[in-house]
Amino acid sequence: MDSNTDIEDLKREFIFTLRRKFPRDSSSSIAIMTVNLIRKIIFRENPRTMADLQRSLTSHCKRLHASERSELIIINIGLMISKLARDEVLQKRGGREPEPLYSLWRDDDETMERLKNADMKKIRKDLQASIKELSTEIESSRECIASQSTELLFNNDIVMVHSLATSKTMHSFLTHAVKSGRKHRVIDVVDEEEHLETAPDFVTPIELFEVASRMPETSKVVLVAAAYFPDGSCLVPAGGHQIALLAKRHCVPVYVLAPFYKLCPFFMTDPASLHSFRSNTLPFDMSANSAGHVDCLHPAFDALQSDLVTLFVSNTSCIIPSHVNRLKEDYYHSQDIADF
Amino acid sequence: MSGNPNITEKKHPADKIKETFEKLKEELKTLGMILGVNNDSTTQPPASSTHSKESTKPDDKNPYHVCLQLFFSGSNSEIFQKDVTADDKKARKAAKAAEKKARAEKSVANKAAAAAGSTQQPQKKPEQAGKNQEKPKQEPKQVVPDSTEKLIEENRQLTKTTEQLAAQMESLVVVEETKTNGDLKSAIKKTTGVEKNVRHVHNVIMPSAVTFDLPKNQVKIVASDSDEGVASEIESTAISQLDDATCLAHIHPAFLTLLAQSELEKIPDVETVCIKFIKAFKEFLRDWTAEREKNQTEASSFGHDLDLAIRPQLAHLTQNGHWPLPFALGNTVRLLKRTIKRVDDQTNAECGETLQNYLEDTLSINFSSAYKAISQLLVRKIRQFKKVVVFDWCPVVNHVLLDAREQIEDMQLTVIDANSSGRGTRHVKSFVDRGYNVKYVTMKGASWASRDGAVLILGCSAIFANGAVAAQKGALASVLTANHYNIPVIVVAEHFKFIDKGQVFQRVALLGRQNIEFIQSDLVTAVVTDLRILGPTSAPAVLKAKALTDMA
Repeated sequence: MDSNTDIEDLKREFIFTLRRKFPRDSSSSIAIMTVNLIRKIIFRENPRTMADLQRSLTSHCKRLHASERSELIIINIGLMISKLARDEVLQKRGGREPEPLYSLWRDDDETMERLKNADMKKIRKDLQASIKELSTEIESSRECIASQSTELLFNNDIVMVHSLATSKTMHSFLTHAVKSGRKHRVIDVVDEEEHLETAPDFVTPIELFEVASRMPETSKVVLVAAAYFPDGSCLVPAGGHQIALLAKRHCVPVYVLAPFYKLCPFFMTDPASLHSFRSNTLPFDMSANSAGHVDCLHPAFDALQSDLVTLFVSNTSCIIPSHVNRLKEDYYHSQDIADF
Repeated sequence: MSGNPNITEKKHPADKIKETFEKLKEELKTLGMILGVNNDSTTQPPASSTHSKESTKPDDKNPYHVCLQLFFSGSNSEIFQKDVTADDKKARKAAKAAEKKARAEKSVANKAAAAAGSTQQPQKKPEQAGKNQEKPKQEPKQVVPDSTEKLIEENRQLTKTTEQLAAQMESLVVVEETKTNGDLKSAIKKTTGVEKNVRHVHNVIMPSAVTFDLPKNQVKIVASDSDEGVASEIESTAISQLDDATCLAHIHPAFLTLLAQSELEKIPDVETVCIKFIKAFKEFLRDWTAEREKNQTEASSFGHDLDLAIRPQLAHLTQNGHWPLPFALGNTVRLLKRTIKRVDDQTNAECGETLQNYLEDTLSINFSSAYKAISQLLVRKIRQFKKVVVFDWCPVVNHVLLDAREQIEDMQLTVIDANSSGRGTRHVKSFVDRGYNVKYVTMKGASWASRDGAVLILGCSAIFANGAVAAQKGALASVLTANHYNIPVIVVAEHFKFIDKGQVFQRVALLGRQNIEFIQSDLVTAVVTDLRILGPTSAPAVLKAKALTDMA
């Protein structure tokens, strides 16, 4: 029981940390927090078999996700860890993972049984090590993505970016390009007037409604993904959809910065459930009359179809949208996805 | 010979001037060749002789006279027979450029002088003098000196002609300025000496005795019906500073108010500008007619004089042609000018009456009736689409929405606003004041609004001849999201918003910093005018139907 209450406490602590932070922490720090949390949970729970591990992971992740609907990363991390565990088991057994192609024919029920009953004790240390590796990888993803900026941004490019202020990844992406001697102009689409003053020096801030008139002179568009899906579509911060549509009309390439932990193995059926509608945007003096009559929407995300995205810039390499489905195999196990 | 001792004395310092004049003379000869001036002027002595005379009387003989003389003499056959060298070609090019400029100035002067009925001929001379000042240098030639007596006579004649011409030009300018009370600056500044107003061209000092300087604050608009923007005719003059009170003295206070309001950005859209302009014009007309009655001038020239009087006012509004009038207003003004020209009544009072009535009619046709017609046409369509999305403020759209909401109970409205607490809140306010529900979203949520909506209704500033729509910034993004979710885009435009141009990428006067975006015709489903609902590419049909095309 102790461990249970401990775990509950840990989870509660985690959720509160998430909710307390406004504006939202960067995704990578949330990912690392999730990794640590799950590591602690596994340590406390001490599952005996693989099946136990999987069950506990899924239940915890589902509950965590249910309490923070907009954080898909939680599920992702949970599933990644599960895959890591499977990999470890396989390594120990020395067998080869059945090809995903053949897994339709579930002919190796036996393999599955063995997998389920595999003893966790043997692989625990290795599992801990791989989880640590996972968190290192998350930490280093920012630099990896930034280092790809030299391949994508050239001299005399005019780059339009969105949400520069809120994304450290984007910021490091651009500063890396600037440091390595590229001379390009950056136009940043900012949300509010206040951000207009606080923009860094190499950036020209404009508002969202001016994007259409600036698009003809832009040569590249860089956006940040909140999440991306196996079909190549992605979620970007609100306003990204218009930018991408305008870019398509002017044949400007759209690059989406998407570290691996944002890759969601599920298709999103209802993006509306992700939104955290926060602020009321009507002016204050109208609030008296408009109470009860006006519904102010302030969406958090926009869904981009895969044909609007030219490249996803991941920490390993740049991938085209149609390749994302294959890429998810690297991080997730199909069985996990099927059982979720 | 009085000149001789002077010649010998000033030989040395005058050498340089001599050279200058030689070069000048050669250039003028070439100019003469280009312009095809006949060589048969009999009474004037060879041009070559004049330069020596110039050195004798530097004070009262303007080089202007020299130029004239050089031009009209042309009887030195030997000089005209020289070969055309590459330098000459350069000279010719420069001459053509100078010609063009002079032609522009000439047309200004001519049209301004239409009333005075002066002929073209006397104006050629001063322009040619102006041309002469911009020629590149040429190789100096040998000059044959001549007797000085003839030269002195010639100079006297030339002085007389010049002075006559100058007087004529002044009178032409004065005629226009009788109506206005501002400081009269002569269009011609005369200088008497070589020392003043010297321009340096290719290290050759070219004295410019007569400079044409269109006074900054009293530019007259070229009366071309088709173009309110003067920028094409006159090269851009400086923007007049509004701080100077004296230059505003001749602008009617109604227009000054209009300008001040626009500076404060109190005018949110084109319709308001038009209405305010018409009201200001009515005031101006009233005052002007009253003054005319007082002066008891002829009623027959009412139209013409009013036309002339309105020009400086309009010039002031458009900052001397720097920024054209907003498109729809340009149409209104053009039609107004046409009506003014056609006014033909017995007394001044009646003329005034006619025009006032015309203005009233315009107000009602273009605004109240047009709104009703458009809303009738559109409400029928909205009945099929229950969910309406609008972008930014437009009074016509607002009118339509309110009508629709009254007739259709379950209509839902979403307002997309360009920035928070922008002009879209006016839609929200009008709805909330009547107790209707409305959804409000900033640009961030434009995609979501389109996803939920069934039709997007846009207002516009103008519709061009190729079907492109000029709308507020941010409209293009909304239209693209609407297209993405396959909902129709309907643009609402009264007939006077159709203009007969391609696309104009200039800032417009009177509307502050609001810049315009252009939406191509393939993105728009339909345009609703007060005539009927059309496809956007049918814009030329509306132009024809309402006679809004250029008559020029």
